[in-house]
Amino acid sequence: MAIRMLPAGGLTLAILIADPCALSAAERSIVQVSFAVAEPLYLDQLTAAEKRTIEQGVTGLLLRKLEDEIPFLRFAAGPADRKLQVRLGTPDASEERAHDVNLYLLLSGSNLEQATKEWKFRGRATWDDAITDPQAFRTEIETSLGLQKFSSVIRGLFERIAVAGEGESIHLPEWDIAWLLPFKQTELCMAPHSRVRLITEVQTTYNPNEPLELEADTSVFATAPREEQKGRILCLPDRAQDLSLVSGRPPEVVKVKEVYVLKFIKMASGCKPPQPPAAAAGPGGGQ
Amino acid sequence: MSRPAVWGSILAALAAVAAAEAAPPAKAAGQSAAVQAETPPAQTAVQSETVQVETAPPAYAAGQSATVQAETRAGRLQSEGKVKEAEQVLSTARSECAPGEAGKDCRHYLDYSLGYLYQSKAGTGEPRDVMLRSAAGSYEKLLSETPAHGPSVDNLLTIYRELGEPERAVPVLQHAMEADPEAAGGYALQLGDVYLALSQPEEARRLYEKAARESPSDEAAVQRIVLTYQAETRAASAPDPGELIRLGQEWEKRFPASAREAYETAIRAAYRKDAWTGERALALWAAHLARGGSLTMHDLKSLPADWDTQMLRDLRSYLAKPESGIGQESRWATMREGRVALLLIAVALGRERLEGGDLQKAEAVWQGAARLIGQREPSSSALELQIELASLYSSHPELDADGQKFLSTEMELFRGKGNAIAQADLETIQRYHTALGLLYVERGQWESKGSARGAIFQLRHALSTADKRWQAEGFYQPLAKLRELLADGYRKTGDLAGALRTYLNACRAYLDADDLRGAERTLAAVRALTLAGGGEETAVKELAGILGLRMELTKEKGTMQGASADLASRIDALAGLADSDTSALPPQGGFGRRQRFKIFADAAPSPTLTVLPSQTVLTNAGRALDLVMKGGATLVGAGDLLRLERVQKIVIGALGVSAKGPEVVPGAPGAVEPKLALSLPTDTGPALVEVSPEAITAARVLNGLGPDTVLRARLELRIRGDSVILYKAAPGWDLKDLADKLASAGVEALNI
Repeated sequence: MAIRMLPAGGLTLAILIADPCALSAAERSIVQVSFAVAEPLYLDQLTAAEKRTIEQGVTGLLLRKLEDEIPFLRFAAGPADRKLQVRLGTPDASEERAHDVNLYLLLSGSNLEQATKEWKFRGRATWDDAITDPQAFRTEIETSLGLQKFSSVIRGLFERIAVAGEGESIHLPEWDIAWLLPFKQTELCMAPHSRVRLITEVQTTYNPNEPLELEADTSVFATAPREEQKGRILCLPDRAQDLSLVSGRPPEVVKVKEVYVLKFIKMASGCKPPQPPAAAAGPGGGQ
Repeated sequence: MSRPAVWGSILAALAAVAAAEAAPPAKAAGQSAAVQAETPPAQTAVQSETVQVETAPPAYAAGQSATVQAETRAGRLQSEGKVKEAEQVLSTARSECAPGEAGKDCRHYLDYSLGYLYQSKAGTGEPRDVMLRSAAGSYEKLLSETPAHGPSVDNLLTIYRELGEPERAVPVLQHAMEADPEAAGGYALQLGDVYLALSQPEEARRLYEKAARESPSDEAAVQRIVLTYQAETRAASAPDPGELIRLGQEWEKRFPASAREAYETAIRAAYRKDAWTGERALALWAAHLARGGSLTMHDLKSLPADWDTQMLRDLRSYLAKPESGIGQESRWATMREGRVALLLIAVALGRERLEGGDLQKAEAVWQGAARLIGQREPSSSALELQIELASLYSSHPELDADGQKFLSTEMELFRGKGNAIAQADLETIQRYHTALGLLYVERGQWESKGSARGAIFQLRHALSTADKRWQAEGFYQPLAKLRELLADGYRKTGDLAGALRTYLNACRAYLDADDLRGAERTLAAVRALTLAGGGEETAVKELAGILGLRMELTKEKGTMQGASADLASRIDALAGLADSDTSALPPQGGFGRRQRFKIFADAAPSPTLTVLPSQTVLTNAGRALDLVMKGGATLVGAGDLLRLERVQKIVIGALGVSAKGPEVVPGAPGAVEPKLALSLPTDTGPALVEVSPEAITAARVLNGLGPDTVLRARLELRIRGDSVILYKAAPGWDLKDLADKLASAGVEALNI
């Protein structure tokens, strides 16, 4: 997609070229997750079966952790267009020289610029501590991953994945334009003040076959105003943005094409449906 | 979290009704009897000094049974779409609840059931707002008697939100906070959200700060603190960017995403009116991102698009072509935070080029950045860059024909180490010594004329710095490999006494790290030196005994049979041992306790689903738990975490308790008990292990009563939080003695 930057206002205008990965359903995008032990020194100490067991176990942990911490995407071990590979050991790891051993996160996929992040696993002084018990080694990896927060890689990694391929633009009394995402707040457990980037296609009369594209950063507001929209996530644009391209245009010519989550704030309560009386017998201070 | 007693007795009734629900409706009349049978008969009250023994109110069970029956019937009607009838059943049952304290449970349960009924029906054909208001009324009624009932508070907040009346949540949450101080952090977070929605960011911040204090490892509150500053930025009431920078620095390690947000908010607050502060925030932001792996052009989109500063232009140019370096007059070179950022970025970009096989470009990136390192730069980023360069010249001598580049880098490493020492930055000092030590080991350079330029000096100081961190932070690092390398160095250079002493500690460290082969190897090295006249027979004998025992246990564990009689008696002999060398530094100090924990835990193999653990297994699991609960043994490595999980599972399984497994949390300042230190093979600091209150109480019960009594009484004992319930005493039991034993084991409340 070719994008022409506008000089100011956090706004991007572009000529749209069809994106083969454009999403059409109001379903969260799927990311394939895998884990691999790739540090050469550790590979020498594990049998193929031990390595496979560790990798399957850690992949399971990753899936659970990601589902909990990044609820705006779906994660699966099976094939998907977007891939998050987590490796123990960076691609340049040496078997001979003492070095920090890192957990290396690589996000890739078609039409997606590769992005990486690293988390420390072992320091230089302990990088070659022997693997005496594969189960303990797996626990060490899981503990190390458990201490990390995937929220820290929304920026840099997950912000690059479109979570949905549709949305609705609406007019509100105080706003020229606002957007409704195709999700309810409780589906994503997304609290107000989360940040969402919307790529919007704008039909123009002077060139109807080549719609313009608007990139707008928005904040999630509480709930939508009309009865039938209640519960859907309402996004309001930043006041500083130049929205003249869409100002005053009827909503039907301003279509949301891609939705990206830039900052995710989880709701403190109310994500889950009310607990039935039997389950609510004990007290609790929120979900 | 404390559990109000009013709910306790209903739980047993619910279990009975759940079982009865599976039966055909005709048998519903039998439910009451089933509940009665489950409910323990009232027992004689026994008092001791520290244990309060309570009796359940008589005639209570019949009332609670009727309550649950009404809710069950209403649930059935609701599922058939008969909402009015369901409401009628619940309302009638509520009107029949006994007045006053005796009917409190009954009213609460039915108020919640009514609230749940209305809330579930809202928006499904029934008038939404009417249903929501009715639900709110029921929950409010419940909370007027029990203000901290979490599910009711949560449901009420959802309803107020849906009604567009968030301000109504303020008194509800304030009362809940007062009523349940243990859960006050969660309520403070929710109340902060309400104030933020009401555009009162300062009040919201005060509450988020409270929530952050209560749950120091939870990012939710920290994330929202930044939101309050952002709200002020939007309201043009100018938050203090200096405070945001301070918060960013404080959060970098524990909450990287929030730290980034704090820096970006500081930039937005400052860039138009205070260029210096904005640029400082930019440098800290860049360093923070680079520390997390890399900083790319993509990340620059997070910065204000209209910020036209030379410093930002310099960064763009550098990211595009780092081989060209950066000008000495750039703010990145003149500002300390800027240099740190540039060094970190250079390390990552140089590695990328090295990975791509372009040695010259990698060298150019690193050398260009190395020129920025100031005379007094005490940063681990400088260390990483210098180590990359030294390693590059060591492994690619073609880049350094006369060795001068290595020497120059080595000098810079020493200068960096000196600066870290001047700043008393123990973590960085240890990293410098370790990196230099390993570099010299790689080059076979044990000693030199200036002793610091040798592996022995550097490894010794790496270990003594680790000792200082143990004393300052309680962070034990076994560092077995470093100890073995140092001992090798002593042996090679003729210092046999030093070698002997260090091999002994290496052996202890290997045993701590569960590397029995390493322990065997270093013990053999000790024996070779002892034969040559080294001495230390007692220590060798002790280590050989422990190593032998642990190896035998490893073999027996493989058969899943548990310890043999001979092994069991050797393990029993360890139980009464007193600790020696309690004042010594680890690995010597505390070695006995750490090893006893491992041995007792390994002598308690995983229970099967169907067979109860034997008395021996339970005894050893109890011994292991007791050792760590009493705070004497640091857990070392993931192996110890697995051991703790296993012995906890055995103990809680024997007592029929359900409890969360031990949970590892980051070592956060202000962390509260009960937590144990866990040392993993990283150099950043210890993690903490949280053990659930139920597991702690179960361990106390086991240690107080002994495995024999626990196995006999297990079906009559229940544990909830830090309380123990005994349903029925066996004939001949001395309840006073039982209560006293539990009290002395630390059990706080016993209900009979």
